[in-house]
Amino acid sequence: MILISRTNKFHKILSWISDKKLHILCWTIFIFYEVIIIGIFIGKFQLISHYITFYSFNVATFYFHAHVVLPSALKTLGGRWWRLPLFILLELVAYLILIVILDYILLNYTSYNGPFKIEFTASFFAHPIYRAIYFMSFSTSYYFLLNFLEERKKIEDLEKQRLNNIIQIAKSENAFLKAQIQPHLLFNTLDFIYQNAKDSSLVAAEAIHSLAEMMRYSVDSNKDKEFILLEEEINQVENLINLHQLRKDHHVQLRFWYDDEIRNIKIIPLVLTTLVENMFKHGELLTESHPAEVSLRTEHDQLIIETSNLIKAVKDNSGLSSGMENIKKRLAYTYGKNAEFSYFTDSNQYFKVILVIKIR
Amino acid sequence: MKLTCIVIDDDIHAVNGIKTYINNLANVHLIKSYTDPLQALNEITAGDNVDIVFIDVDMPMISGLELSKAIRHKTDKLIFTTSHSKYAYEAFEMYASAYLLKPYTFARFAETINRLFPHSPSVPNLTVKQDDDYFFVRNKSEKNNLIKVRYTDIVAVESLQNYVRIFTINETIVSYIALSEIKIILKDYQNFAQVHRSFIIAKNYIEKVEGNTLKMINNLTINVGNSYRESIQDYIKEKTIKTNRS
Repeated sequence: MILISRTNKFHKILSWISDKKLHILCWTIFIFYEVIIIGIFIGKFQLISHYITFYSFNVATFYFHAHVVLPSALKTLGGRWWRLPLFILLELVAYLILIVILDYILLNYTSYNGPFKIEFTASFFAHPIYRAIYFMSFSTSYYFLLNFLEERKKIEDLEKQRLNNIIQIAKSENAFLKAQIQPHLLFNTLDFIYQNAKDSSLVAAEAIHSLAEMMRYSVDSNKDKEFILLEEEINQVENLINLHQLRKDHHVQLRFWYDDEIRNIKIIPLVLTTLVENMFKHGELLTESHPAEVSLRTEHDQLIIETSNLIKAVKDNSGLSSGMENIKKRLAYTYGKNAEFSYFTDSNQYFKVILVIKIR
Repeated sequence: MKLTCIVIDDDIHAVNGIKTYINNLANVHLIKSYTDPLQALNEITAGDNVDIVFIDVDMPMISGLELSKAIRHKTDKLIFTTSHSKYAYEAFEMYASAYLLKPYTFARFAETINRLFPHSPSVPNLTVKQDDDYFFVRNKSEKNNLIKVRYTDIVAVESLQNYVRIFTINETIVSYIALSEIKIILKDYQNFAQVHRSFIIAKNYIEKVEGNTLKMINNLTINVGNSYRESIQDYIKEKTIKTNRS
């Protein structure tokens, strides 16, 4: 039993040491530095028991000041101006009294026989006051550092919580939308409308088809994966272009350049789609002499995605920069330095996006 | 020899839809269609072998998956028609040859058949007399009125999914016809060449060549696709004046 409780105690001490290892290391270096420097400067060393006694006392003062005096003086906003000086003064007085008691013990109960004596003069108190203020100011900076770190952690936790909330809301919204209507019913109904519209209105039938394809992409929800085939994004973009062509009577001037080999490259989802959605939202795509272009190509193990479109005369940049920032963040998160993303408006009023991703 | 096929779908609209698609293909012949899967099961197991069975996955009484197991040996190819992709993976386990997600277009339908029967390509029932130097198409921009297009006027044809945009010397026509169909119409004319997955051009109207970009007479610029690069470069080389000076 005793053995067990001992090993338990031992474990506790070990874990305490490993907990406070930074403190212990700092104090060891500090004390070692002071003892050696002053020892060399004065040319003599004190007894080890002296060092242990006074450094223990000063270290205790340090923590007492940071964990008891300052928190109790500053905990409430009101009365700070009188509480802080009063508490520090009391602490200083207590420090001096304890120093005198310690000196007394050392003089009378140990083998010390040097020239040192207790005298109640200013020069006698100068040294301990200096030491007290010295350690208390260290302790004050330590207190503020602790406070700062704690505040920062609080802010980080809050931010994390906020992001978590956003993710949760987005997820539940998505689940809610999915639960609204059975995919089976949805696509069967769309097929029914498609079959019936096909003979009377080709345009309507086609629009339903493209819409169904786009909805299938969101319902099947490969978006949760980190990487998808570029093919899926290309199909989505083709459907998006087709829907807009149908609605604009095929006057949309948008060229989509890519070769079929590129379909098998993997990429993070919703980058290409978002870029093309932005073109439809903010671009002037109906001028025959100024066609917009989306081009996908590979060059030296790099996937290059470029878009270029004339800017709408009436600017509506709402949401553009946030969409772009979102893409930028997601690219940086996944690819880091392996992706370069830039966008700008050139002198001909063309908005251009260039994205270069290193593949493998 | 026409390919024989059977359609099973409990939804009459879906059956009618696929029927019109089949009628548009010259080489596929519909034997019978069923809206009652149990009747289909009885008649197919007792009947002759066929080339293709189109079968819906979600049906009452007996599911398309179960039914397909029972009739698989009676057909060369089995194609699932389904409204959602959840069943796609199971479908392939059943040795299904392909699946069509509803709603699907005629182009997708024809492409699937072509892929499964590469030796008897299903040419859409296109009838154009090739003797004349022109053809008519419906111009979508002009209330689908018929408009005459002379072969010699065509500069380029751009694919817009199921539509094409035909650039002629004088105008631009949008018509409900697939690029693959235009390609068939133009196949006897050496002057036309596909240079990109979505572009066919008339070679004599190339005005400028800048790297992989062709500039046409009407200022249309077209990027040449990887797989078309060689043939177009050969043509340009052929047409380039060579001198002995270096």
